[in-house]
Amino acid sequence: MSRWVPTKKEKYGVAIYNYDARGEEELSLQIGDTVHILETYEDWYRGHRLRRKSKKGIFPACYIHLKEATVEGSGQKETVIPTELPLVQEVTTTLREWATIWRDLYVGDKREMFNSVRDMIYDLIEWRSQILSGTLPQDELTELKQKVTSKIDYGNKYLDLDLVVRDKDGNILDPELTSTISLFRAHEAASKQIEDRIQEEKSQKQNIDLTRQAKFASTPAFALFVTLKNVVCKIGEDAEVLMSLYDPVESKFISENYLVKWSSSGLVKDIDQLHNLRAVFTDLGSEDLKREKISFVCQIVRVGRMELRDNNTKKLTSGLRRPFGVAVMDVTDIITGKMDDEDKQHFIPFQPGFVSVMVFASLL
Amino acid sequence: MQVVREQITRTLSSKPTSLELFKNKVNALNYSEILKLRQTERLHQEETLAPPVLELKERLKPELLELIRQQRLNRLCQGTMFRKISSRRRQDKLWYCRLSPNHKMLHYGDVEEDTDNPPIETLQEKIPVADIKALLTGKDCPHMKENKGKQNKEVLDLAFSITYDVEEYSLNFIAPSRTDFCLWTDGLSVLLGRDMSSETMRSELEILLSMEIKLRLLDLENVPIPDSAPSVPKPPSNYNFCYDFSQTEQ
Repeated sequence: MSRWVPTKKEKYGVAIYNYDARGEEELSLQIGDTVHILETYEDWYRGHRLRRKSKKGIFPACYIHLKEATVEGSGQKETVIPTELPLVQEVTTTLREWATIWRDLYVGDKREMFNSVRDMIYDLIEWRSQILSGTLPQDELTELKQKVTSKIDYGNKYLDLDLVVRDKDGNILDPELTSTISLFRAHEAASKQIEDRIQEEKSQKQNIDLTRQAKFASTPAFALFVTLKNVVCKIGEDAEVLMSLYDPVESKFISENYLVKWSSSGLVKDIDQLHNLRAVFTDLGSEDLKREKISFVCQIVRVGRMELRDNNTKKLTSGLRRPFGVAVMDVTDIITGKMDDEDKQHFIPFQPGFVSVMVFASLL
Repeated sequence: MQVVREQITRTLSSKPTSLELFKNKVNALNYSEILKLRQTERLHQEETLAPPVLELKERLKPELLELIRQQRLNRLCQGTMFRKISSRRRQDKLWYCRLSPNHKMLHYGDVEEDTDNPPIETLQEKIPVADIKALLTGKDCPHMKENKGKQNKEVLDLAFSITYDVEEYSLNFIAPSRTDFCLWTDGLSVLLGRDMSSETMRSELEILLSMEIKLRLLDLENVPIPDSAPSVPKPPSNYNFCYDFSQTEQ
């Protein structure tokens, strides 16, 4: 006895014409409906619409345009995932989500939002078409993808929907592959970026930009001049003093280290350099000027034994670099020029222990 | 390559009469031009409208008309400020009218200038919706018939009235704008169980429909649509399905 056979390659397609069911076993389709095909027999398919999985029925194969998809699971419980650029898939889902909200905006008579969202939806539809047309040159494609992700993020924020977090290339971060901390930081950064864009869109209508640009135009690049006067510390061994600039908000160093070797006697190793311990941190630009906070960090690294307390001279290991202490000073005011600091000595207390560093810093 | 092919086919279709002309046309048809042409063509695809799409549009209309009805009633519940245009006074009297949340009562009353959204309790008069007999517009309105000499086209386009109760009572309105006229006449038509007919309704329906169609056709991007319905094969000789869903399905 002939039976219907499960389909192997034909799993997913879209209806190219309206089809009205003519019997109990048949499934009605509207043009544009996507279907999951399960089995086939004599020019007919059996399956269900992706939008309504519970209703299964048969429909003519000639009414379906087949598309690529990956199948997960098997047998009755299988599911299909259409093979499309992930971004295109994201746009499609986003559009359907926004459309529902858009209709509610209409019924609630929120005219302005209704019109804005309508424009956003149309833009995304147009761009999605362009991506799918496959005729864009590579660089335009990348640019377009960027526009698309920006629009999606902006729209989600505008409609108070969940934030989608992306990596540098605009791909959605996979929570299984990203650490919790990176995910959190990405959320913060994305949130801030979108807020900034919304503010920008608002202020563009208010023309605040002009004054900000004028201010920054006058300071293209600057440098910080630091002189190390002394390190007062009971280390008991030779040490290295590393100085650098650090941004505590972004948790990263923004300059290289200035290294000074200090001897166990409490003076700089190279005595000739005693009054010459100077460094200039150059190439600081307007972006650094905009940082909320900049810190000057000194790290002391002890060079010698593993443990200071270890007095058994025979079994000593030497030449090991062990962290000893850290000193931090907030130099934001010096960098932004708020503090006038010519010839001013700064005294930075250390953690832990009784250490202090005297530093002479000025902005060039 | 697709772009180059398109350049050539498009230029050839305009039948240039010499190689020179052909060269010029191909050069003029650069990439950005092709993009623009494609864009307009895509827009036209929906405009030219394949028969199944037109059919789908018709099927979607009822659902979307319902949305418009809801929007109209919501607007009426919000209410509008109207003016009583009087030739004698310099300042027109203001009055407000709004529908009750349960859609059963139309409240109205005089208000001072600057009252935004007065609560229903402050409006002294009311008419039960069930008592409304007819909706009249333009020239048919009682208040337009009165001053035949003083009518102007603008006011006629904004005037509407409802008649209620057996005795020819009528409540006369002059809408502040054509949009408000459309909103109110549509809303009152809905309350009277009739079809909406304003031009605003038609344009909004078109907006809602074209959006809906665009979204439905998203998965048909780059898929050709046949001009006529594919022929339906004869029914299968058996229904011995491979999978049995009778337990999972309700």
